[in-house]
Amino acid sequence: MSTEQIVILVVLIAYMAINMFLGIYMSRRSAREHASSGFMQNYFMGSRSMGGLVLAMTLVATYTSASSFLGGPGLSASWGLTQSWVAAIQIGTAFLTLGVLGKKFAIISRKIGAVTVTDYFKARYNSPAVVILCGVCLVVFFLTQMIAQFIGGATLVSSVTGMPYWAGLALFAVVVILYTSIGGFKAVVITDTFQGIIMTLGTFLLLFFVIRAGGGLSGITAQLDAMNPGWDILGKGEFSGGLTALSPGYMISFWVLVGAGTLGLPQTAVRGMGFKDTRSMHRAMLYGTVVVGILMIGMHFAGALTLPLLPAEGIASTDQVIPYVVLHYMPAWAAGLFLAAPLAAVMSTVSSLLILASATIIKDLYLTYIAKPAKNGTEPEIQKSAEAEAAEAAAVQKLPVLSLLITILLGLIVFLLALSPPDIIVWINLFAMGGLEATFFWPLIGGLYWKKGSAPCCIASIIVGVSTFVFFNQVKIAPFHIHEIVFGLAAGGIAYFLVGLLRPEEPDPEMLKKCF
Amino acid sequence: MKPMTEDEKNRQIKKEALATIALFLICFAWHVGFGYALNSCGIYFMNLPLWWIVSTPGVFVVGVAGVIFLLKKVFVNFSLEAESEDGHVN
Repeated sequence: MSTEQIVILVVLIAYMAINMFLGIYMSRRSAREHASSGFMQNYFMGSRSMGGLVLAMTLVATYTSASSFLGGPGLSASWGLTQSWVAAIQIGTAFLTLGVLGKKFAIISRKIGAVTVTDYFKARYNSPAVVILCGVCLVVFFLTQMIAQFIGGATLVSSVTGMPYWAGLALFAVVVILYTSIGGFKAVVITDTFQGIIMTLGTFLLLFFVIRAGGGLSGITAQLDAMNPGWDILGKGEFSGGLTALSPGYMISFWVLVGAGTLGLPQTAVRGMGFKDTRSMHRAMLYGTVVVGILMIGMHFAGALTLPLLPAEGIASTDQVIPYVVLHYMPAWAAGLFLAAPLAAVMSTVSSLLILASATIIKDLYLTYIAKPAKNGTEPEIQKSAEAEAAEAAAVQKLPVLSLLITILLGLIVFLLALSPPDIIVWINLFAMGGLEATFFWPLIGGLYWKKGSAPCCIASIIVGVSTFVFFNQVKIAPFHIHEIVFGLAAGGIAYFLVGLLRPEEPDPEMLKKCF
Repeated sequence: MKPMTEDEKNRQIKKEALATIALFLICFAWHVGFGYALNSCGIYFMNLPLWWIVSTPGVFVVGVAGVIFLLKKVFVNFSLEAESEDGHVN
């Protein structure tokens, strides 16, 4: 290991230590303050106490993954400004999710004590089939996404510090699993906030050093003109080489995949259940939009400017572009700080997925169908038999230990699978984001805003949506290279509303009272 | 904070959701429209093409300005707790 690598490693380890401390300490403090809310509400929802900044940061940090810092900007080096144009589509994520889902979710989840999206489905659709279908989809897609994130982070750490892959993985995997399992949701959102700040700083650092190393903006653009003709044309024009990914139909489809479709991502939607009041939500819409804009446009713009800094013989993969630039053109302290950013993206995404997967297993699957206490654990019913009460008390008493164990166990499974990922994981991960959207989008939107939406609507929409999505992914017959998610969501929506209109069910008045 | 009944809240939430979607559609039209419309105009500022400046950092400005507008003109603060019958707010 060179001195530089040691400095980088020290910065990274310090960063991990801060996260660990922040996560565990802050969650302990919050659990003491909100002791009356009960374990479930604290561990899985942080007692609905998020303010504006924390809400904005956790939303953005959860959404921003390793690819926003590595793969995406790496691709910018060859695709030029087009890539940052595509990345800018994500500007809507924060305000759309909060503006459409936020207040509805906040009110309903307070009434029914929900801590997960599946929890909400349970109250809204009152159907074990919907709950189990959604719960299983969520856990499977989350596991593969977490593994993909771990692989991205571990590859990065080992490539810049020279540590072996397994050690790089262990370095941050242990930290993220520990603070998530011990501290729960509160630890996740507090560390997300810190990590979001680091990511924003990292973006500015990269822009600064790339522009300086390239000899100023005009120096860089002159070199780009010679090295990468078409870097300044949307879709690269005649220089695109006929790439599908640069065709208008494909690129505009991203307005669905990373734009409108993000309404259907349970890991960001669930943030709508955790904020303190409407004022916090309003602030978060603004802060979140500003931060996501800086991160996405900034990182991908910087990526486009890195080309003159790369070695003449080219670089092995697009994922290596940013690490190469960071190692060769940044002082070690800045490199360490910057590299904390993609790790932060990995950790914040994994922690959020981990806690939600664990909540789904514990609350939606275990408590509902295995332990079966009456209704939700936080609001004791007035009339209950002594036996049922005792059984519930026993189940609730076991919850803290059980939740901790399930979270650690899930983390360990992800860790072990990331050590030598099986092919099936890579394959499923191709569908993970679109699959989650195709599963959750219509049950969520239809459920919140259409009283006629019922359990059969959900099941039809999930089956039709997901299979259309996978079908178009496998056979590339789409006109104008339109992305498969567009067809998946369209078909899912048609199925949802068609079933609702053709098989009208009188909505249950009890459900209407809770969910509308 | 405005005291509101449950019905008023629901109407308000629907209005806010529609306004949010309208802003999202404006961003979409701005981003795709100016991106392709200005793609071949050949105008540059600081060596960066006009289509990129207007559509990419541009949509960021439109998005942020739009959110500020929504928060000032459309969104309303109210209690998230279930209200009692007379619309009392704690």
